Amino acid sequence: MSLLEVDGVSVEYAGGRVRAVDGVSLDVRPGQIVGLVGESGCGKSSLARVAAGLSAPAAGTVSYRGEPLRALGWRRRERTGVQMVFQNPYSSLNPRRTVLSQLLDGVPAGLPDRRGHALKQLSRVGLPEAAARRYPHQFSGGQLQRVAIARALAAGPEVIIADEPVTALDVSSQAQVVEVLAELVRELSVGMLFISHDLALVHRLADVTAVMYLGRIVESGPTNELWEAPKHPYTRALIDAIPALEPDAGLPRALPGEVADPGQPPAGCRFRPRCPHAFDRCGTEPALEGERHRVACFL
Amino acid sequence: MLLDVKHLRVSLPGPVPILTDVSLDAGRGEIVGIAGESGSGKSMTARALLGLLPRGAEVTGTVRFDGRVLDRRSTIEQRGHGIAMVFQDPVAALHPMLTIGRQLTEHMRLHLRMSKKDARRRALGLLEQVRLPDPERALRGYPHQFSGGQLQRIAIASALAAEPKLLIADEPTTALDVTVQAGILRLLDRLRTEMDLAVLFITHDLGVLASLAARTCVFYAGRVVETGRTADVLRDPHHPYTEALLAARDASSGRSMPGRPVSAADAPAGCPFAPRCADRRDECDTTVPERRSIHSGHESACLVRTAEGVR
Repeated sequence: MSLLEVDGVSVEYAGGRVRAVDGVSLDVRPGQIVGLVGESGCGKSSLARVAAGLSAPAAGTVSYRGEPLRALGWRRRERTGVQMVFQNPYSSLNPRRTVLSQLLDGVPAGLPDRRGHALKQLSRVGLPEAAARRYPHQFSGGQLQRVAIARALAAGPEVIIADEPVTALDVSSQAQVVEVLAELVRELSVGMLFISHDLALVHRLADVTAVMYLGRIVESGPTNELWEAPKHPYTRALIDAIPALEPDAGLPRALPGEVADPGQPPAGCRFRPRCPHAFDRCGTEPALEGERHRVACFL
Repeated sequence: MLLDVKHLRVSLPGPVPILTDVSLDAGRGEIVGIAGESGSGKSMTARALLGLLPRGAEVTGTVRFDGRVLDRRSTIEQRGHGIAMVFQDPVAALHPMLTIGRQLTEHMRLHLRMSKKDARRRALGLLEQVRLPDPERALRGYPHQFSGGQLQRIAIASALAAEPKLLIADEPTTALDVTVQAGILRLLDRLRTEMDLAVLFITHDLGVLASLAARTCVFYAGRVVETGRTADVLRDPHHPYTEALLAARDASSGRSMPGRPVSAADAPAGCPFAPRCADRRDECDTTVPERRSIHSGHESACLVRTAEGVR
């Protein structure tokens, strides 16, 4: 059974003139990491906000445990089983409050030992209990992101939505945070929607990967299959653009053109203007088809 | 060598060290990678080479550029036509309310004393050289009308205006999408061959350097801890820090380095990497390792892992 189900969700801005997300469906199961990859402007963060119940979709539904998730806005959403971790821990944590008091925000009101519960979350992310008394500026970026994860855990979530959680961190801190996230999913069996522009990172972490381009999912499937045999030309372009550590590999390949304005997406397949394989049929929009490995392409 | 930096040391009054010991060089038409995490001193090295250090900074060591030793004044004179720079965020590097044409031609008219017409012609040529689509129209445009990748191309065009011999690129692709990054890397490599341009490419991502940079310097806590041909550094890393950086990036290793990077100001006595190092010995806490040769051109500053193997 899926914990979090996003079904045909669209997100609109500017009074409907810009459709940032257009009919996206995906689901997250317990103990599963779903990677959502795409470049800037593809709508992945808009989707994250809707999936976390921070804003309401223009169309479609988000359900948590089979019940529709209502967009609650900031104040009341602490109590839901869906929690979010953001890109920049320096702005997602309050600089003037101690770590403990911010952790307590998330701990459910009726719990007997609330303080003990909060401290336990710190050790879960590999931080000492002493960290509870400190303020955000006393931590490095990587440690602070672990505090942010602990705060999300304090509410006892079953789903964590992580939007570019390591993008702002140093390489060595990145690896540490990724390890913490992977371990949590294994130990607590929470489901995770891991959003990133970094396909290499998603490859390393996610069980299932969905690739987004200009508001739509163009390919999704088990991560290894998608990585080894990408079917959509955009997925292939993303993989080819990743610089290899191998000195003889040659320079990574660039994708020609620019992402179109989401306010005026191209007719037919949205990737068509940049696609090296585009042909007549691409003038109509391909549907996302397939069983486990799904792709929206006529090739 | 076009650029030859020897034992560059920079400190702020206090005295707070920012760079402890940086030696590196770059030849004409060569791309040299500078890799490191935040606080390692890679950006500060760039600023020192351009004379953009904070007031009161104390500099020792020598910088030779294009046959002469640079002092404070000649460093500033070199800026632009000798050494030019592009930054991480092209949006911040360009003025939002001036046209691209004005921003590209203003410094040419001022410093190269070009006429309006000549400067405009040169700007068009530069935009063509960086492969910006429709350069005529671009000159009339404002920064918000361009994507991040296009803006970075414009910033590179601007840096090339006075025909520098060395371009310092400080994380020029970090703010860009990966498919766009690939285009900028290819552009820099093309400029290198077309203009015989030397490039110091600063990055936190060793992968970016793999097929771009002929040689690589790995920075840690204000020092160059390992340097050599990029292929040697990546395939046969000798410094434990380089090895850990590579492992952190490698999907299959699953290992992460403990602790966090330190800056030169917070570095412990002895080897700055010792507290995080898996190969640490007692002597590492007291002795600062010198850079020693592994084999031709490949050097590493480690007491434990030397050319003779692990001691």
